[in-house]
Amino acid sequence: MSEPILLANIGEPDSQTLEKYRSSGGYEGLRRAISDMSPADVVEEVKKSGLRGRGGAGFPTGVKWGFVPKDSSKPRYFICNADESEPGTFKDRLLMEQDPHAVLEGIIIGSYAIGAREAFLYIRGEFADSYRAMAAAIDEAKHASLLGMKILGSSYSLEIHLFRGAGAYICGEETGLMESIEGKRGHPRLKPPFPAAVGLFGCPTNINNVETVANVPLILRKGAPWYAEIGCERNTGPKLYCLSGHVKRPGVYEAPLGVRLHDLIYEHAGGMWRQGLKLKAVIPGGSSTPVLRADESDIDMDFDSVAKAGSLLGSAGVIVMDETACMVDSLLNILKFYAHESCGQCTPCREGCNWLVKIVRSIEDGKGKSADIDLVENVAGNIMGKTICPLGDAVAMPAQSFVRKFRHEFEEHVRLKGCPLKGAH
Amino acid sequence: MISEKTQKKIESIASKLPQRAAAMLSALRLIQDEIGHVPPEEREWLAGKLGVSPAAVEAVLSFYTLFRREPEGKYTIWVCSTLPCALRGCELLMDHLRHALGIREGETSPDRRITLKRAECLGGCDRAPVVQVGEDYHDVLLDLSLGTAKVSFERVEALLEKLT
Ligand SMILES: Cc1cc2nc3c(=O)[nH]c(=O)nc-3n(C[C@H](O)[C@H](O)[C@H](O)COP(=O)(O)O)c2cc1C
Ligand code: FES
Repeated sequence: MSEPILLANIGEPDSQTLEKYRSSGGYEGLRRAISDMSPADVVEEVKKSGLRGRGGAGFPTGVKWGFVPKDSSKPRYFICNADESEPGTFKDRLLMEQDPHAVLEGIIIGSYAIGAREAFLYIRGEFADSYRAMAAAIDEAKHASLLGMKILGSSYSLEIHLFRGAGAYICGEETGLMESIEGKRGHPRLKPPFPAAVGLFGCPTNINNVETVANVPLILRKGAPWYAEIGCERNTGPKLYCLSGHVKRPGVYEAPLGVRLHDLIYEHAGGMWRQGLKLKAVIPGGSSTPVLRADESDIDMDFDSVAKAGSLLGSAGVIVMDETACMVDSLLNILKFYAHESCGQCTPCREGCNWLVKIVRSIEDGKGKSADIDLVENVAGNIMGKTICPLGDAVAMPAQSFVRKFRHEFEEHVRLKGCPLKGAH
Repeated sequence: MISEKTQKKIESIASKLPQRAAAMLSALRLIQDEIGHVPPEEREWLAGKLGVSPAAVEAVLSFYTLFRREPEGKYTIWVCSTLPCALRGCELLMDHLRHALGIREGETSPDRRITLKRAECLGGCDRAPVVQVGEDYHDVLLDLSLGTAKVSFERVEALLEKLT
């Protein structure tokens, strides 16, 4: 296991204080950016680092920053997405609670790079500790002239607005989040126009995940070439992986992008939580990503390798299931989540989610027919790609993959008229 | 009506944002923190304050899980039941809480102290099964290493004692 980089401060006493953060090089990246580099230089440096967004899609961060127009007469905004609600994901919370200045420094550097004078940090409503830690960090940074008017004596000024969500998964979707900041329901917007052109309050906007921005100070402090050495080709840098479910030590583990999934499960997380039980399935990137059978799960955990294996790295929420987990019941659980969280704008998603829940519930309860198994795939196929935002895909992908990969379990439920694993914990 | 202090706080937030309506979520939270829920009178007031229609306030209030339009118990116990928590026994925990409190999901105890609700992934799956009370997360509420038949609920009892 390699030395942690992103989590280097975490677990140290007072890791959340400015003093501690500065003692290990904190805000040196910001100093370098603001005093030695133009905003365009900063964008270039982040491009060269190869950093890809940690919010789910793995889009190159520097490239995204470059999309924000430099000549707009409107204000430009930088948003940090701290809504962290994809089931199985809990890494952003750790960063905010224990290393809030790293997140803050990243936001300030990013805002400087795109020329934003105002930034927004949208924290999911339930994360009270994250909110308090970030609010305290913002206060400390203001007093130290790292934020506010004329940062570090330069001509650059930045104001940060802290927002708290109120319990809606869809507000993690970037345009849903913008609607929510504007004081509305979190209904995702049709794209194009993309946020870089028309975003928050109709102005050019860039949005990045918490973990993404927490990588930025490292790149500026130690340089893009240093950063690009970590990880693997086209998938650079350290990554946080969230291990949950049937493992001995659930938790957040750092490893370079491209770490073996089985190293995460068996070494970092200590293997299966109960002796003698075997691995059955892994969801590698949060509950919306396609499930992998045990025999196809010994893969490299970077964006491209997981995609090649037929799933997605997503938010790196690794949900581990042993032989006692019923795949029909697990799918039902996932479907119920997305049915509840569908914002209701698009008919395929709003109606389809509820139908999927009904069909899979009837299979789990032993009332399903053979044809219902195909119906699950059929309904999912009619949601996939047919909605304004990717929440439709987020429900269709698990539905299709669970049925395709564990069809025998669905058939067994139909044949036995019930769940063979009910109560097997 | 909410206190003058809270009214001032809401005004101060609204005046600093690019658009006043952007203070909506913060304002609803402040009102709820003071009263326990967001009553009709405050909704009207807020609409005027932020320059939006009363319907716009209703739309937001009914969309977000954490906002309450009706009073609830003094404490709300949120039991997470999404997959990572389900894999580690949240249904056993839910059953136990239902029995211990004598209420069903979504209900409030007769003494109006506790409301029991089902939550979705609380972003704390490393501590599954997770329960949230007020702003705090509570973990390892049951000891599954004993096997299903002999699950220990000591931590749940201690928690309930603190609340009642
Ligand atoms: C339904 C849905 C929920 C999402 N939830 C989150 C979230 O909680 N946090 C997050 O950072 N990104 C989330 N995303 C991705 C964002 O839309 C956006 O792509 C991301 O914040 C971009 O950041 P990045 O470029 O740094 O990865 C979600 C996307 C969808 C479709
Ligand atoms: S599933 Fe319960 S906290 Fe994530």
